[in-house]
Amino acid sequence: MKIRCTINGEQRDLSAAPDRRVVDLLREDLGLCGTKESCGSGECGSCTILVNGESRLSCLMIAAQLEGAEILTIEGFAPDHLHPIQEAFIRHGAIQCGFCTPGMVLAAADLLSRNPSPDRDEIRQGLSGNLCRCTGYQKIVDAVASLSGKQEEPDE
Amino acid sequence: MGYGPVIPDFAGARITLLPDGRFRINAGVVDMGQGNNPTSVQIACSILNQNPEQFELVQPDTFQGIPSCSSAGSRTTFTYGNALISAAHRIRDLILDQVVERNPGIRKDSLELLPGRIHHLPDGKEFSLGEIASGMPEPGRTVLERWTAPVNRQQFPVSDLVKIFGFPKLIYSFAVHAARVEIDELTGEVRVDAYLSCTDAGNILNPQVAEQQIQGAVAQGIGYALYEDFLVRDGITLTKNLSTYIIPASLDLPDFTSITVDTYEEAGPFGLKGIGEIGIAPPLPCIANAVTGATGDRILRYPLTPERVLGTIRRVR
Repeated sequence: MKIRCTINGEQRDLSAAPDRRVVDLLREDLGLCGTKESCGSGECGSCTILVNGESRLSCLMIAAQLEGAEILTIEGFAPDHLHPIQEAFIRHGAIQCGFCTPGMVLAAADLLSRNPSPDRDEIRQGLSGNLCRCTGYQKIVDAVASLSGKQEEPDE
Repeated sequence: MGYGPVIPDFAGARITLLPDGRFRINAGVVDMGQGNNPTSVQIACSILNQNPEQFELVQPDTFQGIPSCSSAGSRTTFTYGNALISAAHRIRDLILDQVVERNPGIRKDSLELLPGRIHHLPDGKEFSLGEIASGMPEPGRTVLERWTAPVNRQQFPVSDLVKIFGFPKLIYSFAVHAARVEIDELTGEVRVDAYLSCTDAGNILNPQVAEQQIQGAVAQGIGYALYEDFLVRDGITLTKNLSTYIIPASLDLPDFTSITVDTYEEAGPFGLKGIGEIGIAPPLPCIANAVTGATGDRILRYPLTPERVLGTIRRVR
């Protein structure tokens, strides 16, 4: 089917089987490999993308659901510079192997857009759908907490 | 830490002075996120008095990697770091010798390496590393140093039926952990609500990387203690996914307090010992002790699932 949607700020006319998984469409058809796939069944959060500004698991979405949607992957999150969330992750050492990082960063963006001043418990709640095997989460929580209460720079 | 007496524990480090005056380090042991590469750069920076930007670090591969054994046994930075220290000293010597050779009258001990350049102390004359490199043929700009870890040759009096592999070690890291747990008497669910780890891994070269390693290890250790049950039947894994093999999520863990005892291991690079695995061993016994203290009886199977804990609570009553 033909799908018209916006991906990373660019309007796209895609042609895909309606049941093609969005994670495959992004990674294989469009080469946007920043979105990771780990479990493929909605348990780990690696494949998190933002759909109309909200975090969604791209392994559980099918192409047909993208019609008219605005999609943001990690590639389009801050194309020319590091986003403050990414800078905070680096500063706080919130990355080890990096496989969960794209999903974590986007989940953090979703959390901060809904609640700009989360406390540590709210951060843990907001990131609870994203598994990390390396860090023990603490430095990820530190990174997001460092942005809590701060006005985020507008994206554009 | 280390492989023990049976398998040789060695590493090779290569440093190349590049034509533009930067350095390339060929990492011997893979960094899959634990942070040995940044620590390697830190070691080289310190000896060569350079900034991190002046290093290019190449991860090992089968083409240009130098056999350096595995990222295992908490030996990665210990063994590779020692090889790298020798390599860094040797390339420093090579560079200074080159300056002396090209500038008669300059003495080696009056030269100092500074970021990107060599400084001649008596008259302030400077030579850029790029300039020095350009006059050296490629093989002359590369050094390779190998290092093999010493082993403990002590024999254990054991039966011939027992095969000891990897023991005794020569150097040990140490840790003390403390956990405060809360048990739901109705469901048997155990929650860790405070956790303290105290680690002696020698001198800590990179506090952030060390803390990451400990926090990640404690998180996995808590997983082993409470959730992670790898089930196999007839050679078939039954817990194939993250809904049956449960690993801790952000809400399952408290903020950890991790402190280090900064000792100095003479044999280690800049005094460090291994920190790779010392954080993951203590959480299970530590939490098991806490659960025993709370329930009044010891559970000898892990993970400490709600079913097992509830059974113990009922039996004790």
